[in-house]
Amino acid sequence: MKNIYLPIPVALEQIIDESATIKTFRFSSNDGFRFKTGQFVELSLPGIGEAPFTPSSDPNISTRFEITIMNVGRVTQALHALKTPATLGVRGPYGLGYPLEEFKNKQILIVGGGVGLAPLRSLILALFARPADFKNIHLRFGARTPDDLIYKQEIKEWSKICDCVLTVDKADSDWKDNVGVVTTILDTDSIDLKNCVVIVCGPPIMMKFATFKLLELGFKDKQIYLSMEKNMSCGLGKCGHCRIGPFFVCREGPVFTFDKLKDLPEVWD
Amino acid sequence: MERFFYLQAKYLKDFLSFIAKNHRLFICQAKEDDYYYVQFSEGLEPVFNAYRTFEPLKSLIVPAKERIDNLNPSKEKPLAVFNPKHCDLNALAIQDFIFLGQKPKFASVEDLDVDTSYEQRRKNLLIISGDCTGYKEVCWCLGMGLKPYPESGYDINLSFIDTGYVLEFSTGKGRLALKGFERRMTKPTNEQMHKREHKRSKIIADMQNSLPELYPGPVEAMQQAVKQGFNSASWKEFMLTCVECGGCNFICDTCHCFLLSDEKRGKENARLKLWDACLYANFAKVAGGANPLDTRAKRLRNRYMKKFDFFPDNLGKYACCGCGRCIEVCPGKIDIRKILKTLHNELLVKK
Repeated sequence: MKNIYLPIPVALEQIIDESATIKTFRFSSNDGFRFKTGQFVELSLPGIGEAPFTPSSDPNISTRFEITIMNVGRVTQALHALKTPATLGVRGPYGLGYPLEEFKNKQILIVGGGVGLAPLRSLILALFARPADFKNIHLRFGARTPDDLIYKQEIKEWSKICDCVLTVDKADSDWKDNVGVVTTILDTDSIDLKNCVVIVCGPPIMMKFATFKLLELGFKDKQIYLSMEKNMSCGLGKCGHCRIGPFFVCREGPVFTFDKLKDLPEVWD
Repeated sequence: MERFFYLQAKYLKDFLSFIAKNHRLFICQAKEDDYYYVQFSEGLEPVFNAYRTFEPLKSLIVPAKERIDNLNPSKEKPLAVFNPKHCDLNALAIQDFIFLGQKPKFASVEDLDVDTSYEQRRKNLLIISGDCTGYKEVCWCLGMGLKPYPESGYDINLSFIDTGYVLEFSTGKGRLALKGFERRMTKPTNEQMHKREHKRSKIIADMQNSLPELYPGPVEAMQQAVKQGFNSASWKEFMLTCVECGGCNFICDTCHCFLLSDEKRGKENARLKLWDACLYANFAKVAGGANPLDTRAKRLRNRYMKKFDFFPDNLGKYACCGCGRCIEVCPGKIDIRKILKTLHNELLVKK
């Protein structure tokens, strides 16, 4: 009998350090585990616990997937202590993910903060995989300090093919890019407001102020795609933890256009 | 096929024994002025409980704590429950909606997940409900637009009339469960059927007489009252006595929230499903530290938004059946009727 609450085993192959608190975990998916970019999974350590993460790898790769994880809680701490090889559990993927077809032939502005770059990396790689459909990509990334900025090498590569601006809240002596919160690098200089979408992923406070700034710049509610961070525990629309207004974020999200959220009084709580 | 039968009171025990042959049957036992479910055994004297049990009906199908990684309900003997009331049956619709994966209005996907353990138990569950013959001070089903006798959701229903019961079959499952027992029952007389109707009108009249003061406002306006009351200052007043025990959640017939928990049992890894409570401080907290429900007032409000806004929006039904269990259990004397009444009065002032 199918049991929706049980994970399938996955093999952890490699752990890559991204920053002092962030690591990327690479799993082999020989059993054909697939996801759409922006969907999330429940990753579990048998006997320890389970937590929701959005994969950070290219969804077109069928043999492996990656999850970038910040050490912030009980489960992530145990994950960070792991050594390869190890067997973990995965359930999902859950949610709807990014609606790539809606982005087709549009300018795409991608705004990320901190470990919020993880789901965005998967999105960027998915977009890069279809260069004919997605040409105009603009990246705007922020982190607290240069040390907290992840995917530094890849960002260098990405900057060669698209417009990329970086900022940190607090710079060090080597930092040559912008200093300030992510809203300070948002503008419409090279954006055609009539034919664009903007995707935002980061800590709740950053999402809030980025959304306000984007609205101020003239973006419409329907053009702003937000990744809502809620306590998704079951991923199946049953456990009740991730409700916002009439939605279970795990099932109707986690990506929402702002027009669906703006009238919910608890949207920024 | 006859829908109605008459069962003499002296045969109630035989009736239950007959059901228990093929079911794990739960019946009530009285303790002080409450009723509790116990598994039927021949030594027990059957009790026709006057009103709903202390614990919610959901607890028989979805236990408060259950190991789920080695569960196989298809091997379990079918469950039967004797004499749940209309409030409990109505609340099962909420559990069904969530765990059987019925499509919510706001869901964008068609293919919803089914909790197969729940499905298996629910499918086999035999419901032998009963009319209320009494009520508790906290019973306010009438305020939620429900009657103190079942109108749907049962396989068999019993209505107590003096010396016996008018028994009503509602489903084929009910008839099948009593196949072979019919000879112990008779065709009800017109007088017996009339008595049933009379008893039903009488209990409504009695409840209405005790209800008006606590009647929280028209049932159709409840969603609007709660929604418009989102920013009401009253939430802070209501929560002042909340001690975050989660009692209102755990005793609630419609609350469905749970968490999955992993633990080590010796060398074995176990996964458990446990009821969770949205009145707990960390219910909505994410690992990153953000907590959308970071105050008691927000958590209390969240409970009402879920029951009186989310569910009517998605299912077209309130997730409250007026059973009053949350009122009874609350050490802080937080009363759902008073909250709804206050919000409704505030709505009237706004208009």
